Amino acid sequence: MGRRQFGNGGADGGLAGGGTGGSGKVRKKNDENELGGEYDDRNRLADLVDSATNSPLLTLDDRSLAAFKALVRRSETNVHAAFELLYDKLKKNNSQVRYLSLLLMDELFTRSKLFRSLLVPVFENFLLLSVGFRSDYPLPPPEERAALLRKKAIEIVEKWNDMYGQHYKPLRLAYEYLKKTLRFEFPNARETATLAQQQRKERERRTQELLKKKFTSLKSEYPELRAEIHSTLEQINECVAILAEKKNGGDDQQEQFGFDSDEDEFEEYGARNLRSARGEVEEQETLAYETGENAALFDTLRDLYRLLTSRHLVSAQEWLSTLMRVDPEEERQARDTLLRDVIDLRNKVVKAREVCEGAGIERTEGASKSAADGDAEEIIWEEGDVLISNSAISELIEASGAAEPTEVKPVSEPTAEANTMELEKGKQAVINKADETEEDNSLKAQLLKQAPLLKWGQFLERWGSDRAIPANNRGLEFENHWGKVDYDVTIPAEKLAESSLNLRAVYYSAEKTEIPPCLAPLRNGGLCQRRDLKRCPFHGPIIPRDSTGKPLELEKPAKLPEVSKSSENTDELTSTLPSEPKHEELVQQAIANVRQKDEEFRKKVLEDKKSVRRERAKRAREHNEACLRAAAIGTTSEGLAEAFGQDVMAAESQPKKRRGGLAALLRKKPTVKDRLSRRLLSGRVRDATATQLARDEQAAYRESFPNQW
Amino acid sequence: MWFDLKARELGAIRPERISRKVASDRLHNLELSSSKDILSVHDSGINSLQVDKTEGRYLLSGASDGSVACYDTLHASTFDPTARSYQHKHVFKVDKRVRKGHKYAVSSVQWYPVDTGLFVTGSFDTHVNVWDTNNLQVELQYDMPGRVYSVSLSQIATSHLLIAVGSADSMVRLCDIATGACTHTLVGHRDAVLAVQWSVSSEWTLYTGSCDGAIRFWDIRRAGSYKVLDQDSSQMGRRPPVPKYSPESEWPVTSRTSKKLLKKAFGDKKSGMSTPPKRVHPGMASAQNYATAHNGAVKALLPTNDGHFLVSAGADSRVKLWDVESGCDTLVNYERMRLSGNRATQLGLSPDSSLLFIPTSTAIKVYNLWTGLLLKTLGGHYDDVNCCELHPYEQEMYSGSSDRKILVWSPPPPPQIDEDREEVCPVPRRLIVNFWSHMICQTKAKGASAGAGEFSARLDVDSWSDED
Repeated sequence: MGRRQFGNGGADGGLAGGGTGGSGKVRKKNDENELGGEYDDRNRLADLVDSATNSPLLTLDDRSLAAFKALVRRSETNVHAAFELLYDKLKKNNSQVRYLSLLLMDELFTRSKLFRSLLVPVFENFLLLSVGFRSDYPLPPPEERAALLRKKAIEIVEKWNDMYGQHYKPLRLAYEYLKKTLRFEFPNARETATLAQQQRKERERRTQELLKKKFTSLKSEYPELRAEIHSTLEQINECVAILAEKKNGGDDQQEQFGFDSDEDEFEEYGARNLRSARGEVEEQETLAYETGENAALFDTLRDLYRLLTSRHLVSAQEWLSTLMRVDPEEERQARDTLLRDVIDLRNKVVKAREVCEGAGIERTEGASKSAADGDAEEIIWEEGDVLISNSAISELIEASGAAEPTEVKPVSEPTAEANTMELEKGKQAVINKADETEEDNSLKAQLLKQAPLLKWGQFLERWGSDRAIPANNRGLEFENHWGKVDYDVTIPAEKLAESSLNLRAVYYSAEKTEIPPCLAPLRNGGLCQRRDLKRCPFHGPIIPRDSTGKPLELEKPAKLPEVSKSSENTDELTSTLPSEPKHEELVQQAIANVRQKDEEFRKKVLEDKKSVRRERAKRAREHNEACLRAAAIGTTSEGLAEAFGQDVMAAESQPKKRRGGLAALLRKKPTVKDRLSRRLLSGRVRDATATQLARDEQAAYRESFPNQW
Repeated sequence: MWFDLKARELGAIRPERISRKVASDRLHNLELSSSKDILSVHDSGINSLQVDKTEGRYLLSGASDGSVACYDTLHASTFDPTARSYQHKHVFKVDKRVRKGHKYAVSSVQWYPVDTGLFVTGSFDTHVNVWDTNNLQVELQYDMPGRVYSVSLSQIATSHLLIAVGSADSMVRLCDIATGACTHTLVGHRDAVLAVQWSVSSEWTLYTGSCDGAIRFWDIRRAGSYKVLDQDSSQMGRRPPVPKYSPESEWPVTSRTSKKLLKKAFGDKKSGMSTPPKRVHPGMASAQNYATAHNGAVKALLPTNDGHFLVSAGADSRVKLWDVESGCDTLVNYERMRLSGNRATQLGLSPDSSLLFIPTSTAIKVYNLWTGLLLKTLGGHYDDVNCCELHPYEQEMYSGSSDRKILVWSPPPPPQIDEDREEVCPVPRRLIVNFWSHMICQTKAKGASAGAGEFSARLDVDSWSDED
């Protein structure tokens, strides 16, 4: 049964949107089965809450929500039950479930007083579960839902506080605690809304004030301005009338040919303006070729037209807009009359403009005509002055003679930039030049002859131009990356004149010179083709050589003494020598000679030193030998045989010693010792041997260091 | 109540009984006051509150930012028509900008018991300040060796003017306002002293509770503490006979260990020890008594109004009621109690000593003092409640919390009369409902992002739209 009723409830909820009948029926039905109703209601509520909080969506289903509300509304027990169910859901360990139950709670909280009174006593716990303001009770996963839950909860707390804070103190306290102590960020919806409203009102008030000011000033000034405009209109009309008369005169002539039949139409229309406009059109056609007083008339008309369009029409439009927007509290009457008047005036002005435009005066034409009038020409002349050097101009004047203005015009016609371009590009200019007239041609040729050929640079880009250039003030390519970008910022011309954009930058570039080859003769019969600046790593300093590779020794002996003077005499040398490379070679030659001489001297000194050293060594050796000989005779008192052999040994050792010196003597020593030890290696004569060995050692010592005892 | 009035008219009951009954009823029905707001000026949590006992009018509050403020609880400064509540703004506020003002958290405030011309504050910046209320300047400043947790002035003292100071130091100091110096140093505790209370029956008796779990009773005329409360001794039994004078009986020591010590100290002649016994100063004997009253820091002490009992709250989540005379635990079980943290709190006791108000984490629990029954849980703060203070003459309670609010708890307002309701809601309800349903329709049509209309204040009535 519960299921069926649930279905009914849902249907009722769906119907409830249409009207009140549905809920009435539900109530009636509820009254009928009151006994079992409460239990069933509770079940159904549980079902509804379960289904509503089980969805993964972020919003509640409208149908089930309506059913839920209808069910809760029926009785207080249902409110209690709903509160318990929702509160249980809020305790669930899932932020999504909490979020949805929070939404349901919000629905009931804003509707049922009982629900509020149930929730408020446990508000701290409610906040703990929904806002999670205490770190030891964090919100459950999933995290993004937890964040959403907190945000929503804070929003809801603010809303509830605004709506019911005055009745429920805990609400108020909770709001203040969250806001002031924990410093949660509340959306502050009400304040922002009121603030926006206030700002809007303020803005409106300010504009209204401005409009009123304008209105009052307009009221006072209007008669004057009106008179002014009227006078302008009058003048236009008069001009048109005069022109029309003249045209009529022309028509008379034409009528003689039986040409025109517009007269009737003028009569039919009767509107003076239109007629004059038509007349003007005709006039323009006829008078286009005329000169004299007609031109003066047209000039005044043009002036008037300009005045009309640039000032009167604009001001009339402005007045109209102010009058339409202004909200006069007391002066409605005045405003209306003024508005009517202004509209009238504006219409008149517009008509007059049409008339003028009909007469063939248009803004563009007026501009071009005025440019042709002369002042613009002068400006271009000035630019020309800057562009072309004074001498060039004077020459030009001389050359062109009397035909000055006509000749200058073509030069001044293209813009200054184009001029520079032509000057720079030279050849292109020649091509352009070919197209133009004879006089022009000669002039340009002359100018081109005079013009220097320069490397292209930024200073030429805007040569002589007075324009301001747009500034790249952000320094980045990304749009709006660092903030606002003002696209209209320009650098004014006078600032540019100072800046580096107008300076000509000249960079140093070394002159290209050919490095001469070494040209020293090679073994295979060729010449060394290495190109080094000063010195070839294989053939030494680079010197001038002839075709076979022999160095050209130019006046080498003569120059050597002059080396000290050469710096003073360079001028003479250069003048005397046939060409510059020869001179350089000579200088190099001189340097080389000096170096060679130095080298020789150094060698000689070294050799001298060597010979001295050799001699000294020789003397020392001789002395050593003498000493050794004496020692050998003195110590060898052992055997006669040895004494006899002394001479032989000495004779033999003579050449050896000469060969090896002291080292050889030292090397020989152990052999004698060995011989002696071998001979005396017997136990009986050990003592004797010892003494002899000691003596031998002493002798050896004496022998080895002969000059130290 | 009407029966009581009738009985009173007939003379069946005494006049003070009915007033007591009304007061008690009101106290039992305390709830968050909807018509009285104290606008806290503090930028941080409130640590201590006290209403002066002389007039019962000025509420003193000390906060964690070192500021002390005073509120007039009697006269509201403004009336807030939207919340329909009277707002009590502060009378004055002193903070660190005043010369010698407290730099750190003020842990304890106390009015001068005689009048409201002076008040005493203790702070974590190790100073105890005596302020002059009239020119709001520090008149006296005492320097303590550590953070000051608690200061106390005797309410009944006539012969002395001592501030008892419990600080991070284990010694309790008594500072004399008359001389501006520290006169006593009470040695005995082994850890910081969180709670200091003068007895309400004897001007010489001081109760102190420490972080080591001991509660000591001191007679400031004598050296040492004369009693150390032991959580194990709960058998009150017969009162011990008043003994004749003897050094032992002068310092009644309950614990067995200390008895032994005493025996040793005074020498046991029977044992015939050859070495002369080391004689301990009688005052120091109790210093050896390590009996504890709580298994944790003693956070608060509060004597009952008759002075016979002492309530103590400990960090072991126990509140105990001690019999002062015998020093025994009365074993009253205060149910579902939860206290935590080693910080001093301030308990509240109703003027008739029947209700005990204990600030637990974010709520205040109301117990029947004698039975330990939990009567009510007062929730309204959103952060830890640090202190609660009962008005001495009216049935009103003030509570200070770390959420920077001072809340007023009062009996519910009298039920509104029908005429008033008519005034409140002059428009027929049906019309209002229609209006709101219209509004809701509009906001629904606009979509979820509602304008300012959704946030307008509403009447506290059911507002079901017809479409629901």
